[in-house]
Order: sequence, then C-alpha cells, then structure tokens
Amino acid sequence: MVVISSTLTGDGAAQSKRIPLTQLARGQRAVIDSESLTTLAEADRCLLRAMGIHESCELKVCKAGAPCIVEVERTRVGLCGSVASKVFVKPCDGCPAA
Amino acid sequence: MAVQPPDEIEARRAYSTERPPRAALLGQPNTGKTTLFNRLCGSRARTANIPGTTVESRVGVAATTHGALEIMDLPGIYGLSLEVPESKLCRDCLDGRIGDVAPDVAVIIADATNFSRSLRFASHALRRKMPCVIAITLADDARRKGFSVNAAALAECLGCAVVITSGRTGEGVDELADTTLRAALHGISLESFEQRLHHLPASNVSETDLAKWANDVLVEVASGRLASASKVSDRVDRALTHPVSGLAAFILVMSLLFASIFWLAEFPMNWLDFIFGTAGDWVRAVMPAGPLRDLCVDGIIGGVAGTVVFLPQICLLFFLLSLLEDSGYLARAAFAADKFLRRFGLPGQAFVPLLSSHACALPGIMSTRLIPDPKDRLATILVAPFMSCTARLPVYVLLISLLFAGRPWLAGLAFVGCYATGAIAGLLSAYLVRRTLLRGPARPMLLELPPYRKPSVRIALWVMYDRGVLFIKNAGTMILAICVVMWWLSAYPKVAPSPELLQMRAQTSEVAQKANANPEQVQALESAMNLQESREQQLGSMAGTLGVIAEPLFRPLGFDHQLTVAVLTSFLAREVFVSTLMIISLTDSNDEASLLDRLTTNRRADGTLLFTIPTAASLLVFFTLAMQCLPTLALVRRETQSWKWPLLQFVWMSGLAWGMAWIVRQALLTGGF
Repeated sequence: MVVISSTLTGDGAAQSKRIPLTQLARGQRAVIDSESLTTLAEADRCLLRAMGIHESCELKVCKAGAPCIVEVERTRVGLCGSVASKVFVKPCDGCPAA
Repeated sequence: MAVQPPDEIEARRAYSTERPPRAALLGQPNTGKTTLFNRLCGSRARTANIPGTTVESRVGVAATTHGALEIMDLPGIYGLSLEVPESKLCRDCLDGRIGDVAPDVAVIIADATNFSRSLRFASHALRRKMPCVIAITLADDARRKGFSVNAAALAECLGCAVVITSGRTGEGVDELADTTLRAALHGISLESFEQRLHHLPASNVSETDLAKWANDVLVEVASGRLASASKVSDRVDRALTHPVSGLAAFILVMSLLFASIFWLAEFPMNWLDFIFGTAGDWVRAVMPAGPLRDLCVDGIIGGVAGTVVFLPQICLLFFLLSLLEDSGYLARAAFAADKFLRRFGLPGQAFVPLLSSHACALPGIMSTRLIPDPKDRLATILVAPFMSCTARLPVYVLLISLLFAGRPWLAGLAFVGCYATGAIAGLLSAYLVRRTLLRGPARPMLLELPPYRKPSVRIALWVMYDRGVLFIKNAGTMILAICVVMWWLSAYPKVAPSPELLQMRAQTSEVAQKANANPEQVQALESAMNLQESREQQLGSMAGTLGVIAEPLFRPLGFDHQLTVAVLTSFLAREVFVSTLMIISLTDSNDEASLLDRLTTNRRADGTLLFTIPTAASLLVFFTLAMQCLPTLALVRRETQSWKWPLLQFVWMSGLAWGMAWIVRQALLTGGF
C-alpha cells in the first residue's frame, strides 16, 4: 500500500486567498489555484505542467522570492521571477513558514 | 506481458539482415536515461548529431541473447507534446521524419524515485502506435528509500512490457535489452495497440485528472512511501541558493573548475608538446632535407600537435562537468547565474561555457551543449571567443610590459582591464544578437534541480572519453587541415637568400673552420643567421605577401607590414604572434627583457619607432577583441553546421576589434602620447 504524500491534497487551502508564488515564505506550503496558470504563455504553462506543477497540486517553497525554488512530488524546480509572479497559489492553512 | 517464444524470434531475426532493430530511449531529464544507455551499450557507442540537426544523440549497439540491438539515446524531454525544439525533435525521430530510419521500439524511462510524474509522461508516449517497453530506472535508489514497484502489475496496468533496472548497478540491463529486442521484432498489431489505449486515460484529459490516474496506478502497483527531500538536502540547497553563501560557493566551485583547466591541464599539454617536439626532431634527423621533410615536420606533425594540444583541457573540463552535473550542483549553478545572464539574453547554463572559454574557447564552445534552447546556445557560441583565453596571455604580457614597463600596479590593472573588456564585449554582443539576429522570446528559466547524488567517476570517464573522441573526429580533422594550409602559406614560395644572408653564412663558415674557434661565438653567429633566414622567409612567403597587401587595412591602427604579417600569421593561434615578433625583431632569446629591448627600439622603414604607446595600445585592444583563432572558427562551423555563423562571428569580432583599436589609438594620439 502506498501513501500519496504530495499532490491533490488542497482541501486545507480552499478558503485561503490567492497570492503570487513569489509572496510565499520559505517552507510554506500552498496549492496552485485552478485558474492561476492561465495567465502564463502557453509554452510555459505546458512545460510547468509537464514538470509536475499543475493546477490543484501542492507545493512547498524551498527558496522564497524571485527567482524561487519549489518542491513538487519530490522534484525541485527553479522558477524565474517572471513566471513565478504569474503563478497564483492558495497557502495551506496550518502550514506556517519556516 | 506475453512474449514470443525464442524460435519464432530467431525466424524473424533471420529476415532482418540489413540492420539490427533500433530502439529509442525516451525519457525526462535527470531520470538515469543516459546512465542506462551507457550500461546497455558500453564502448559500442558514439555521439553524433541527429541528421539534419545540431542536436546530438548517442547511438550504440547492445548485445542481446538473440542478436544486436541498436539503441538511440534521445534528448531528455518533459513531454512529447510540448512545443519546444527537443520535444519536436523526439516526435520527428519517433515518426521517422528525421534520421535514416524510424525506431522499431520505444524504451520509455520511468524514474522510480519520481514515479507519479514518470507515469504521466509514459501515458503520452504509450499513445504512439509502436512497440513500447517501460524501463524503471533508479530502482536501487528507490528501494533504499523504502519504495518499490511491482513490474508484472504495472505491465498489466499499462499493457506493455516493464523491466526494473538500475544503470548504476547494472540490475535488469540484460533483461531490458532482450525484452526490447523481442518487442521490436514482435511489432504491434492494431488489436494490441487498442488494448493498450484501453488502459490509458483519454488524450484530452486534464492534467489534474491525469495526476489522479497516475496516483491510482501508483497505489495499485507500488509499495512503500517516498518521503520528500531530506533535511540535509534542504540545508544544502538553502546554503547554495543563499545570496551570500550561494554566491561564495558558486565562486569557489567555478574557480576550482577554472583553475583545473587552466593549470592542471598544463602538465599533459607540456608532455604532448614534448612528445611532438621529439617526434619532429627525430623525423627531421631521419629524413633527407627537402619539401617532403618540411611538410612532415612543420605541416603534419606541427598540425597534429596543434590539434591534440587542446585535448587535455577538453577532457578535463568534461570530466569535471560530468561530476558536477551528476552531483546535482550544475543545475544550482545555472540557477544562481540565470538572473545576471538573463539581462544580456543568455541563460544561466551559459555561465560554464563562458568561464571555460577563459581557458580555451574550444572546450567552452563544446560545453554549450549543456544549453537546451537552440537560440540561447547559438548566442553563447557566438560570444564565447570574446573571453580572454590562455593563448592571449603571452600577447597581453608582452604588450602590457611594453606599455607599462616598471609600473607593476598599472600593468596589473591593464591585465584585469583586458579580461574585463573581453567579458563586457561578449555580454554586450550577446545582448545585441538576441535582439537582432536571434530575436524571439527567451525561454524563461524553469529548471529542474535534481536531488544531490554521489557523482559517478565511471560515468565521468565515459563522458570524457566520448567528448575527446568527438573533438578529434569532428573538429580535429578540420583544425589539422587549416594548420597545414597556414604552414604552407608561411613556408612557400622559398625565398632566395639575400646578399646579407649569404655574407652571414660565409662569415659563420669562416669562423667555424678556424682551429681556435670559440664555440659560443659560432653558435651565436649560427643563431643570428637562422633568424635572418626565418625573417626573410617569413616576409617573402605568401603570408608575407598577404601582409604587404593587407597593410593599408591596418595602417590606421599604426601597424606596418611586419606587424601586419605577425597579425596574419597569428590567425592560426594567437600565441604565434609573439614568436613571429621574435623572428621579425631578430632575437632568439626567450628572455622577455631581450625581446622587449628589441621591440622598443624596432623601427619602421621610414625610421620612426614601430612600438609607440598608441600603436602598442591599439594592438593590445585589437588582440583582446579580435577573432584571431582559426581552430575556433572551424569548431563553430562544426557545431552550427553552417559557415554563416563563424563568418558572422569573424566579421563582427574583427570589425569591433579594429574599431575599438582605432578609437584607442586616436584618443592617445590626441592626448599627446
């Protein structure tokens, strides 16, 4: 039996307000907003999804700011400021910043 | 999954006499794909550009129980349907639109340590109507962390063969080769393809639903749990991406890399120099004097030496880069450099090629293959030769010593200024080229930072060997040809000795025949005679004639025809400039002070001093910026598969060098120097 640890667990974030990824603090967890990737260019959106950063997935911020580093499904991805500022997320409740 | 019995495979194999079946390795970056390829093919692999492209791929042959299997390692991609050049290339390869023949089977790499994402990738690849085998890589790593996959259950789930492997330990590699060959020979019927599609989510499914499907499969076929990255990794990452400690680590690692290729490579380079020098002396002693001996010694042996001498730097650079890449640091370094280099239209990955070019542009240009985007890569190739390489050093030392004799602080500043001028010119040129010829949206940095791993020395040695062979095969042959042509231009036509030289010969012979001749005096006379002979040959050769023809072009910079000859001959390699100046100045002393004395008193035909401050300064600026390196142009031609880019690079760099040298000279003349 396997325990899924990272994705599709955005229940705790349902009521939070949307903020850009660049505003999260280090160690903070968040769920990508279902509409947030639409502001990105098509190519960037597709690449992010293929790298595992897709709508409703949960991520953890490893390096805050712009550029930032996030962890999704055990994969760390570095995002430049221009992309990270257009990715909107809902911070998970009870997941304080480190 | 059911496989055919061996006898039927042998029967099919018998018909396939023209070529072995071909498999394409398809997978995401950092999934152990190339390590698995190296395990499968070992030494029976070569690196070559995919026909009609500048993207390279490794092709090798794996031995299986039932015969040979050709394997092609395609570039790592995040998705087959992405509109990025690497994904398009993989699609074209799988469809047979590029390359001589389409692969018979696709081996889809699934990283056991990132299984959910790998399943999503596989679901797209499996929708192609071709035999597929799933190779689960890094299985040993995942098992150590308490996670394992049931291959039989996964094969049932996906409707294709699944083999658990580890490129590092060799686990499952033979089984994978056998299974892949069987799948290639078996082919795929419409019925089995439709069955496979039945197992997969619909093609238009949303990413969220695809993730749900992948997690359902994972629950069914896997056991255990992979925790998120360790706290140690977290701390290391925090330190390496911190504005202060990250920058310090970056500078330290890059300094060590640079120091290694700058100083460590010097030992094997000196050995090679000695070996070829000895070989040349031996051939000179054995063969009768004449054009054939000159061709062998100065043309061929000199040309081979001029090519092979770059090998230590290239091999060392790629060995170290492989270790850094394998360890996971290289991606962090690219991340750290990206913000700065993006301002000039270059990606973070361009930092390593630009730094390496400070040792030699050749390994620097070869290492641009780290850059995934073709436009980014081309822009980096175009500006890399602006970085001050080691071949420029002797020229810098000589001219700065001329300009700032007895003023070490100013000389030091001028030295730093030369390096800074090259780097700034390179970055500004990159800015310009990305906004004109290579215009278009820059690919934003979305960079996967792979987990930290202990780097494999074995893989690094393979990479080093592969790159060395590739350099010798691709660029080496062209560099050798250029060396031979340049030697020929400098050596022919043979010039008749001048009355002055004949007189020197007679005098030397007379002194040598005396019973009480002083050997030191005889040696000094012979040395002076040889220099005079070289000088006459240099100025009377085709290169010398070209120097006379080209003199008007360089006259505004203060160069006379002798300096123009030195500039033209240094086109083969910049360091040749100093030896040509020694010949022209009639000094054979390796003592820098002796050469400087000669140069400071050297005069033009009209009696004026040759090396005035404005002329020496303009020459220094010219050498800092000019593309005075034919081997680099030859390599750029090979890397870009076109003469357009090296010609453009030559015209731009030479034009900029000429313009800046002229401005500096005029400014100094106006300032009363």
